[in-house]
Amino acid sequence: MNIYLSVIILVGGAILQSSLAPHLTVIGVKPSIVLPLVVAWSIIRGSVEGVTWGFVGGLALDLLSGGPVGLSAFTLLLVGFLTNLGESSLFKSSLMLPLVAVFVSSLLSDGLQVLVLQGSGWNLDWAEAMTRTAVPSAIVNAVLMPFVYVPLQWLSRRTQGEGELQW
Amino acid sequence: MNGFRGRSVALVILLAVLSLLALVLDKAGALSPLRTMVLQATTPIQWVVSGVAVRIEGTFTTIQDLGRLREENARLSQEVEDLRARVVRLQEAEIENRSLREQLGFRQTYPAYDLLPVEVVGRDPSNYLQYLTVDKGTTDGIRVGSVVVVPQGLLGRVVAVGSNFSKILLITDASSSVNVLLQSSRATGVASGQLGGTLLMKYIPQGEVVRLGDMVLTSGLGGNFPKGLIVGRVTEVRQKDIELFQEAVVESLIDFQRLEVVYVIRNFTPQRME
Repeated sequence: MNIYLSVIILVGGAILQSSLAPHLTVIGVKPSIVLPLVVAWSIIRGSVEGVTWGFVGGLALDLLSGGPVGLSAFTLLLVGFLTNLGESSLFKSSLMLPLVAVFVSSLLSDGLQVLVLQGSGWNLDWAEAMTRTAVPSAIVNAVLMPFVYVPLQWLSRRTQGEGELQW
Repeated sequence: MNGFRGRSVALVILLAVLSLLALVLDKAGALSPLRTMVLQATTPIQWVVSGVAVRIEGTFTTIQDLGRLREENARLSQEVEDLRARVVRLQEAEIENRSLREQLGFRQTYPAYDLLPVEVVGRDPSNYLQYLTVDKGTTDGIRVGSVVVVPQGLLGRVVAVGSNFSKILLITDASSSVNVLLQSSRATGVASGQLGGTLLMKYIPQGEVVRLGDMVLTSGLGGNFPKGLIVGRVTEVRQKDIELFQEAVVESLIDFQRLEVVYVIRNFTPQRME
């Protein structure tokens, strides 16, 4: 798929996550938009594109955030890579894999983020962060996932002939 | 397949190194110009998206809350009448207070704040960080360190600024600390942000009396914030005889989920950044 379209999707997702998502708080957490995008694309198009989407999407989030630049880029590129480890074409057409993948990825990403923030001076308790925020966030992201995965499947089919990410 | 997997591992390593390099560079402040450039470009977009989101949210909220709003309106009308009477009594007390102070030769200065209203256009995308992005910056006289308030009290301070945006660190962020005091006992401490939107007031001496409902104000110590701004109210006291200090959980009076317009104090210069 064309890299410019990928960047537009990811940067747009980051802007929506900072401007729109805070108004959609559910069970005390904001939904993530970029993480489901990365997980979905990694499942659909493989780890190379998933890792690239994770890095670009994460960097966009970091530049809009007050936290350390590189934090989301690092955690989301790992998400893009690890999501694809359990790849099986048999499950790609089922929604269960994306739901489980985004739930686990959300926990992993949040866990890593809290560890890095702790190391950077934020006064966060890891156990409290995981139970109070990470788990509800993972649930919300899993609920959001079908609304991300299905459109991206369609987009992938439309752009399949273009091959891997083109610069 | 092995070649493909090897390629993706190589890509992961390369991008992971880049991410870690970015973390280091950001810590050294080298990425601030890039961040400023991105925020200056995206703030107008966030302003538009945020405006749409507020309208949509407002419409749904209004429809759902009609019944509740009628009851609340009646209750608030009564409360307004009660408060009016109280204001009159307080005004009388203030007049007497001023007269007594003048008699003692005591002169108290009330700061005259130059307040700039700014609109909230974005929040931190992370659930663990508490930052706001607003739509004004250096062009309107905002500087790094400027204090931000709302009618319910202290909101935070500006930590990054461009020509058309400012990024505000909220007092509820886990990296924020404010020197405070208890209004009743004048005991001082430090209020730090916590996950969940509350603050923890630490280093309260053991001998001090801390009551539920005590108001917590800025103490002015350290020079980062003016004295006397409302920080919150004590909702829990943690006191153990074996500890050197007491702690108190403080809840801000501000509804952080419904912030649309906040106010930057332009004529207060912090003495130093923490």
